[in-house]
Amino acid sequence: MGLEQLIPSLAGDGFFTTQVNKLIAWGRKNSIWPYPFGTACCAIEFMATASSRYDLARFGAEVVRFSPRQSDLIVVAGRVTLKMMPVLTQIYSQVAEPKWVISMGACASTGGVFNTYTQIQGVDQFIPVDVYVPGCPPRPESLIDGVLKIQQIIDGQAKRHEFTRPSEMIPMEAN
Amino acid sequence: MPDAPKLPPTHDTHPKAARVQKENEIDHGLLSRKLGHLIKSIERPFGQTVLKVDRQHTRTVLETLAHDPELSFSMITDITAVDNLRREDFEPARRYTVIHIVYSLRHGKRLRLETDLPEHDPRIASTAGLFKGGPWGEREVYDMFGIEFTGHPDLRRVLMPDYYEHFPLRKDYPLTGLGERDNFVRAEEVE
Repeated sequence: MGLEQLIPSLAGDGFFTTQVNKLIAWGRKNSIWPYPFGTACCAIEFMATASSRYDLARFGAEVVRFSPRQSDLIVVAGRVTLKMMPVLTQIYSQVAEPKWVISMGACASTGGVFNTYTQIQGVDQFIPVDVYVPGCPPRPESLIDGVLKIQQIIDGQAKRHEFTRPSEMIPMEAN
Repeated sequence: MPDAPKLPPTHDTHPKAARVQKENEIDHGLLSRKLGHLIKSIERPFGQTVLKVDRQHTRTVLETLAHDPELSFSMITDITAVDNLRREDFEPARRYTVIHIVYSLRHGKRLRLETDLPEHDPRIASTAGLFKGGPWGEREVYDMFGIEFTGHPDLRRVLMPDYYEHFPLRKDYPLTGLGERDNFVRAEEVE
């Protein structure tokens, strides 16, 4: 983990001082367990990101869990419909605290090109989102950048829910 | 002079076009002999064969098509519908058109049945018991257009959630819905 370079005293005397929450955050950010809420083509890009060519394991996030109770990060990858939104809300509430959410791609973030009766126009209306990854679908590099942003949030270097829509915001007028 | 550019095949120059054309070549004399008293007309748009039927005869026509050995249209390809509301020649007596597409595995022929339904009473006989795949298509048509299939064993919504109140493919229903998609309980983080 390159700890010796980061903390010079560790290489010398073999001990260092820090704060407990910083130590915990360091552990958390390097062992994110993502839960892929994959409903469309963004999930294919997620698979590419997690597998060997792009290798999300370099950032400690390779343990993809298919149970929300074992994961820290929900990656909402794809379209969310009327029938799927209650499922996503329930899965979000099943993830143990602390938890983070990536809204991956145009459909999850805004509804994308699907401005129809059954398509949720952005999951951030109903669950808090930390990082939005743009693209249709996003390239694996974009998703890796999103995971790095989550690491910064865990570390305390970036703010949470900075761009999540407030609950009192009125949805866009139907046209 | 250079050669003419090689164009991709179209619907009539594609190698499979001849086969499709053969599928559509149906002996109209045979059809009118077997079904003449039950159907309104036989049409040939784009070389395809379409039977126009009144709704009280749809089930009988389908039974004859399926069971007659000279016809034996035993496979239902699709059941779908059209809302005619925005047509220039719209009249409430034929608001919806239910379309049955049947295929004859024995003879390799394809046939379309069109049944007009009135606006105030969109109701038609189900194909349950005749085609095994029929009730699935009927559930979808019910879900999207609200057309009732009498005699259907289990007429419920199949794509939209059960609490949904509208029939979204009707032309008087707005594309973006009536606010159903914005109406969910927001999950908040507990910290």
